[in-house]
Amino acid sequence: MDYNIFDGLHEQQSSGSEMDLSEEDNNPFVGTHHLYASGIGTAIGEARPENIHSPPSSSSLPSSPAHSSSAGSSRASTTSSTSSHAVVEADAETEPFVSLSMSTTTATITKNAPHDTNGTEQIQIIDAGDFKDPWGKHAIGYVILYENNKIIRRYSEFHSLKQSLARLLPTIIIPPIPSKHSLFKYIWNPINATNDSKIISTRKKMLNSFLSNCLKIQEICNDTIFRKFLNPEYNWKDVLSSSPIIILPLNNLLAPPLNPTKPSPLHTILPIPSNSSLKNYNSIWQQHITMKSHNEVSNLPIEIVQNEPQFTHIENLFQNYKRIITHLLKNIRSNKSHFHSLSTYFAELGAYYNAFSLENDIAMPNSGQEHRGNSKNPMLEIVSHIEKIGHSFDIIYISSEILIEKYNFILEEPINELLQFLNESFKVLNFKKLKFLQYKILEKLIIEKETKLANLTEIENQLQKINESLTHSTILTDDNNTDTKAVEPTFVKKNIRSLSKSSSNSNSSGHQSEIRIGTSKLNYKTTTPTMNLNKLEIKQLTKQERSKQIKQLVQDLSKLKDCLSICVSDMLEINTSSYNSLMHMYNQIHLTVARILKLFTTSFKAWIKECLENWKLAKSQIDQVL
Amino acid sequence: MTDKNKDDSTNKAKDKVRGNPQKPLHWFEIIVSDPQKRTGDPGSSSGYVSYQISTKTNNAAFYDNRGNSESIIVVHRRYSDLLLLHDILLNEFPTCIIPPLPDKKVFQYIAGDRFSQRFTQKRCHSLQNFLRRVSLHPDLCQSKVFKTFLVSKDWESHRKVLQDSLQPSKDEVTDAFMNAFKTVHKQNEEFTEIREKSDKLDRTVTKIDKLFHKVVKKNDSMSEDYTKLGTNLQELQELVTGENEELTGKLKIFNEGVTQLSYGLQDLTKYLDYEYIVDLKDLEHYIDSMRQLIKLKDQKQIDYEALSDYLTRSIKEKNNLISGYGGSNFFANKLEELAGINQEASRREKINKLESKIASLTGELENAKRVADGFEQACLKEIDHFESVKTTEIKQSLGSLTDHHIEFYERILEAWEKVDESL
Repeated sequence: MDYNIFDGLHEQQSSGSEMDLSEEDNNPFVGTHHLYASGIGTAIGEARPENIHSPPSSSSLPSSPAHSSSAGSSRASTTSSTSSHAVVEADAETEPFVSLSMSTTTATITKNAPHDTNGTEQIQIIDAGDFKDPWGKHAIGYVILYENNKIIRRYSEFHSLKQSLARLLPTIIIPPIPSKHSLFKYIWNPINATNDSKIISTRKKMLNSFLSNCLKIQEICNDTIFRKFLNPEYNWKDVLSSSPIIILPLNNLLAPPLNPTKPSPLHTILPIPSNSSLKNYNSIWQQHITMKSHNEVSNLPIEIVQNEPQFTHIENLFQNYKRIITHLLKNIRSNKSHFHSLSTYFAELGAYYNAFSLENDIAMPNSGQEHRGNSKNPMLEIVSHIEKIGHSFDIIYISSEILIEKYNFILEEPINELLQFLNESFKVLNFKKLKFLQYKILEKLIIEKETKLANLTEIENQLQKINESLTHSTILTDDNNTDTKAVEPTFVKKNIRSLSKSSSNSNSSGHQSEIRIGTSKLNYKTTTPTMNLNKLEIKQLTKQERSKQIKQLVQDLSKLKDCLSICVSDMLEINTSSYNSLMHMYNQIHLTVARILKLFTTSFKAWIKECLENWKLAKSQIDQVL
Repeated sequence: MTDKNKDDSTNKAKDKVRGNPQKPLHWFEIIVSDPQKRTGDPGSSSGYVSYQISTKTNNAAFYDNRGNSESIIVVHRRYSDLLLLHDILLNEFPTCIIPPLPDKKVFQYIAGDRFSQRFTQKRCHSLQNFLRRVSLHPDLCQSKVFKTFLVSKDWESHRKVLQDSLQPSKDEVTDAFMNAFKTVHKQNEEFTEIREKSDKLDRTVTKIDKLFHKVVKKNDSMSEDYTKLGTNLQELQELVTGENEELTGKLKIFNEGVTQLSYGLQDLTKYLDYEYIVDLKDLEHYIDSMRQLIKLKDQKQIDYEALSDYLTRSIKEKNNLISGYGGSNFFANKLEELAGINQEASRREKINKLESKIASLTGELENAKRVADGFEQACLKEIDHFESVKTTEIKQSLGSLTDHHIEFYERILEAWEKVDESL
C-alpha cells in the first residue's frame, strides 16, 4: 500500500464538494480537532503543487489565496470556521478506517464512492450524528451501509449486540467495540461539542472495524442475531426481547457450547464453578493428569489431554503479548505527547523566524536610504534566508501534526484494538477452563457417591450376613446369640471407621473446588452431611431406608454420569472450536503487528521525506542567495 | 567544522573581490577543539581545561618565516588565557566592539560540572566564535597580543608581562557610574535606530534561543522514548521468536530503524545544544558588547555636552557683565561698593577672567567635540563591521542548521527506507 500522507487529505477535501450539504444542520463535527483540514491543507498544497488533484468543481475548498500569502497563516486555520466547515465534515465522513480492521485482506474502501461495493462483504459506517429514535428520543446514531441498506444503530445497541454474541458464541473471540464513556471523563470534561465529536468520530471508526471484523468470522457472520442487527426492518429492542436472546441460559456453562439456545435437560442441572476457582486451574489440571489412580470416570478423552499444552502455550503467549503491548501503548502515548509539544515549538520557531525576517525587511529601507545609502545593508541578503528557515519550521510543524494525528489511527487505535482482542481471547480461554472445572466437580461427586454407594452396599451385605448368622444362631443356643451380638457392633465400628476415613479423604480433596449449586435439582450439598451423619445413622437406618438410599444413589450416579459425558463432549466441542478461534487470533495478532509496522513505516517515511525535501528546498534557495 | 571553515574562506575571498576596505587583509582559519582536563600546577588545587587552538592564515608574519599558509599552528590555551586576551584587547582598543567571551559560569564551578563534556564542548564552540570574530576584525587581528596568543610557544612568560600591563582602570568605572543617570541630550538618529534594531534582534534571538532550549529538552525525551520503544520491540521480538520467524525478522528490522532514529535524534540534539544554541547565545553577547560601545560613545558625548553647557553659561555671564550691571546683581554690587571695592575694576577683572576661561573652554570643547565625533565615527564603523560579521554569522549558523537537519533526515530516511523495503 503506497501511501502518501497528503493524498488522503486532498481526497477528503475533494470529496467534501460531493457531500450532501443538507446534512449540515445536524452535523456533529462543527469545530472538530481536525485543524489541518483547511488551512494547513492548502499550505501543503502550496508547497507541493503536484499533489493537488482535486476536481475544479470543489467549491467548498477554502479559497486558497487567502491562505497562500504566507504559510504562517496556516496556524490560524481555525479562524476561517465557515469555509472549513464543509471540509471538516467531509474529513470526518471519510476517515480511512481500513487500517483498523484486523483482516489480512484489507478491504479497500473506495473513499469517494461508498456505493461502489465489490461484493457483499463490504460494510461501512457512513455517517454518525444526532437522530431521533422511534420513541422520539435524541441520540447519536451510526449509519451502517451494508448490502445497499442503511441501518441506524446506537452505541448502546452495538454494545448489547456484542454482549449477546458473547453469550451465543462462547467459544468464539468476539471482536471488541470501543469502551464506554468513563465516569472520570464525564466529570472532567463536561460534554462540549468538540470533545463529543472527537469521541463520536473515534467510535465511528472503531465500530466500523468491529463490524468488518465480525463479517470475517463465519460463526458471527452467520448468526441470526447479527443478521438482524444489519437488517433495517428489525427493531433492536424487539430482537433483544425475542427468541434466541431470551431463551439463553443465564450461564453459558449450562448449555451446549456450540448451540446455547438448545440445552439438553441435563445441561440445566450442571454445577457452576465459581470464577474465583479459575486461579487454581493450573494446579487442578496438573493434579488431574498426574493422578495415577485413574478410575474410569476420570479418563478424559486423549485429545483433550493432548491439546492442553497448546492452550497453555497460547495463553502464556497472549499474556506476554498483553504485557508488552500495554507497555508499548504507554510508550507510544508519551511519545505522542512529546512529539506534539515539540511540534508546537516548531510552530513557534517558525513564527519567530518569520518575524525575524520581517523585522529586518522593514527596518532596511530606512537606514539604507538615509545614512549608509552607498553601503548595502548586509542583513538584506539574509532576510529571505531567515524566512526560508521559518518556512521550513512551519512545514515541519504541519507535517508533524499530521503524523501525530496519524499516530491515532496507525498506532494507538489498532494497538488498543489488539489489546481488547487479547482480553476477549482470555474470556474464551476462561470459558474453556470453567468447563473443565465443571467437569472436575462432577467427577468428584461421582467418586464420592460411588464410594458411598460401595460402603452402603458393603454394610448392607454384611448386615445381611449377620442377620443370616443371627437367624442361624437363634436356631442354635442362647449363648451363641450373645456372641454374635457382640460381633455386630465390631463390624459396624469397622465399617464406620472406614467410612469416616473415606469421607474425610474426599473432604480434603473436595476443599479445593467448593461447590455452589444454585437451581439444580440434584442436591450436591447433602453428600457431605450424609456421610458425616452416617456414623450415627447407618446403625439406626432401617433396612428400608438403607435400600432407599442405595436406590437414590444409583439414580444420582447414573444421572451424574450422563452429565459427565455431556460435559466431556462439551469440552471436546469447546476445545476444537475455541482452538480454531484462538489460532485464528494468534495468526491475526502477528499479521496485525506486521501491518502496524508496515503502516507506521510508510507514514513515518513519508514524514521524513517531507521534512527532508523541505529542508533541501530551503538549502537550495539559501545557496542561491549566497 | 571544516565545511564551515571553507565557507569562511570563500566569504572572505568574495569580500576581497568586492574590495571592502573594512575587511582585514588576511584571512584566518581558527579551530578550537579537543578540550582536555589538565591537572593544575602543584600550587593550585583544582585542574583546568585546556583547549587546542589550530590556526591557519595567509599572514606570513604569523609563521615567522617558518612555514607557509598550508601548515597549521597549534597551541594550547585555557579559558583564563582567553579572558586575558579579551581584557587586553578591551584596553587597547577602546573604540572597538570586542567580541565577548562565554560567561564564567560560576555555577558550574560550584556544581562541579566544569569538566563535563557538555560544558566543555559548548565552551569550546563559543571560544572558537570569539577567536573568529577577533580574526575578522580589521584592527584586532593585527594586534600584537593576538598574534602572540595564537602563535607563542612560550605563552607562560608572555602572560606574566601582559597581566602586569593590564592596569585596573578604576576612574573609568566611577566615571561611568557618575554618568550612569545622565542621558545624551541630542542623540543621533542613526544611533536611536541602531539601538532599536539591536533591541529587537536581541529579543528575537533570545526567544529563539529559549525555544531551542525547549526543543533540545523535548528531543532528549523523544530519543528516550525511542530507546524505550526499542526495548519493548526487543521483548516482543523475543516473544515472537519461534512462533513466527517472518515477524521476528520484521520486528528486528523495524527496531533497527527505531534505534537509528534514536541515535540520529541524539546527534541532532547534540548539534543544537553544543553549537546552534551557543551561536545564538554568542550573538546575544555580541549584541551586548555593541551596546557597551554605544554606551561608551554616549559618555564621550555626555562629556562634550556638559562642557558645552558650561561654556554657554560662561559666555552668558560675560555678556551680562559687559552689558551692564544687571538687575539681579544689584545688592551684591551695592555691598561691594560699600566695602570700598572699585566696581569698575573688579568688573573688568571678572570679564578678563571669564574671557580666558571661555577661550580655554572653547579649546577644550573643540577637543571634546573631536573626541566625541571621532568616537562616533569609529563607533559607526564598528557597528557596520559588527553588522557584517553578525550577518555572516547568522548566515553560517543557519546554513549549518539546515545542513544538520538535512543530514539527520537523510540518515533516518536511509534507515527507514531499508525498513520499508524489508517489510
